[in-house]
Amino acid sequence: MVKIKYNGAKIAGIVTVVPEHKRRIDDEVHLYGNDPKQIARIKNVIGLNERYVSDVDTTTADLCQEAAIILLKGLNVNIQDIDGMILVTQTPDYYSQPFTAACLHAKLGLSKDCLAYDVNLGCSGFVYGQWLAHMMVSSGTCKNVLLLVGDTTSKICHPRDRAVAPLFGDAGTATLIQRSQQENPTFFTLHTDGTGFHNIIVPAGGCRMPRSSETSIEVEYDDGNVRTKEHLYMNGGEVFNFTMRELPPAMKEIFEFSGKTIEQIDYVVFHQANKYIITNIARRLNLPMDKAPAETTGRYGNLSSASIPATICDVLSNEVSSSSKELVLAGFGVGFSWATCAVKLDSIFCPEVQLYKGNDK
Amino acid sequence: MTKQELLKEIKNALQRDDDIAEDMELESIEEWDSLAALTLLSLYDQLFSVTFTMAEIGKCRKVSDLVALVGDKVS
Repeated sequence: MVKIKYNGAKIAGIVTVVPEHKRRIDDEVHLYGNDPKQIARIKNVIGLNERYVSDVDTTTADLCQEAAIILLKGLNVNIQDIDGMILVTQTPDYYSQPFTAACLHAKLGLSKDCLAYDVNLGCSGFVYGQWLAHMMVSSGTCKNVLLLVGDTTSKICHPRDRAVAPLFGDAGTATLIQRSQQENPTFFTLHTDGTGFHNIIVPAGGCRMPRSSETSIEVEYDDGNVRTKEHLYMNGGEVFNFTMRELPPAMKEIFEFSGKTIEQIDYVVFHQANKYIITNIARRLNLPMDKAPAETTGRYGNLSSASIPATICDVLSNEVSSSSKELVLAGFGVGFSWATCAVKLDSIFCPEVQLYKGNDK
Repeated sequence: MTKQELLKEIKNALQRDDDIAEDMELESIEEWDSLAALTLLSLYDQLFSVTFTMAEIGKCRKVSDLVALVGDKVS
């Protein structure tokens, strides 16, 4: 088991930005087979309702850039003092070269003394990103790490694939991790099961299956969903099974490792895959639902890597801005990959979810 | 849990207005689709703490097959 505790690092602030176009599932019944009863079931079971999607000109990097500017301004941190930046995304500006963190490094005006790199992870990505950032600060490599985490998954969903299209929303987030004078221990556990790699996949577009006239052919599958090889495919049943198999033991692991009980934790923020997965896991763990926010999917959709920070901004903004809260974070998904973290958020800069303005592009 | 209670739970999970009976073919149930199968996975997980796979659910042809999955947990 990979588990580690880091001292001397703290989260100073979290900002989430969503793009300007709001979609309501009720307006899209025609895309999903014109079956209002089925839409009602999707709303009720999966908890879907509204989400925000970006236009063609707005990328994950743009959303993260705006989040970073709001964050640094809110914390009154000089951009020149950032000495590390990580971008976690599966929807980069360029698929091969350059890495998108380089573009953001230039646009944000970061110093040449700032390291920067991309990480390709999805729903576990925020926790993995926290682990990297805490490691970089705790080891003394960096003093101020800007962690940018986001996805614009709507861009890679076929509009007529109801397994993914009504589910995924877009968002970009920015978190600042700084040196802390206090011990401030943060605990992590990290896992991978690569045998599940084919269950959430965009088959074409990489070197394994380059784009071609064949990969862009639309296929209607038995379940009525339509997509090409260049679109996101997700096997919802297998993902559910993976989650129910791996998450409950992983949650027990982080509670044991951090030495904290459910009573001592204020909130468990799960990746907001959908309402029923969170409800099922919470039930398995005997976790009261008022400690496990599950409504963010209904307001923003499944935000992939951005869903944990978005939930903190959406539901806990007031509390973590004005007091000290003990949180457990749990990300899980594509790969399969999952990670948990026990972390304290003490009076951080955390405004509510912001709408993208695009002034700085 | 009795068989009748389970049938009612399944009916509610499918958000179906009409009752379902054991001898019904799943194909004949309007609400039966991949989302319904997922919902059933979730329901069984909640009711019995057993996680079935989509393949196991996919093999079921009749409502009685869905009931049989949980074996002696229903009477």
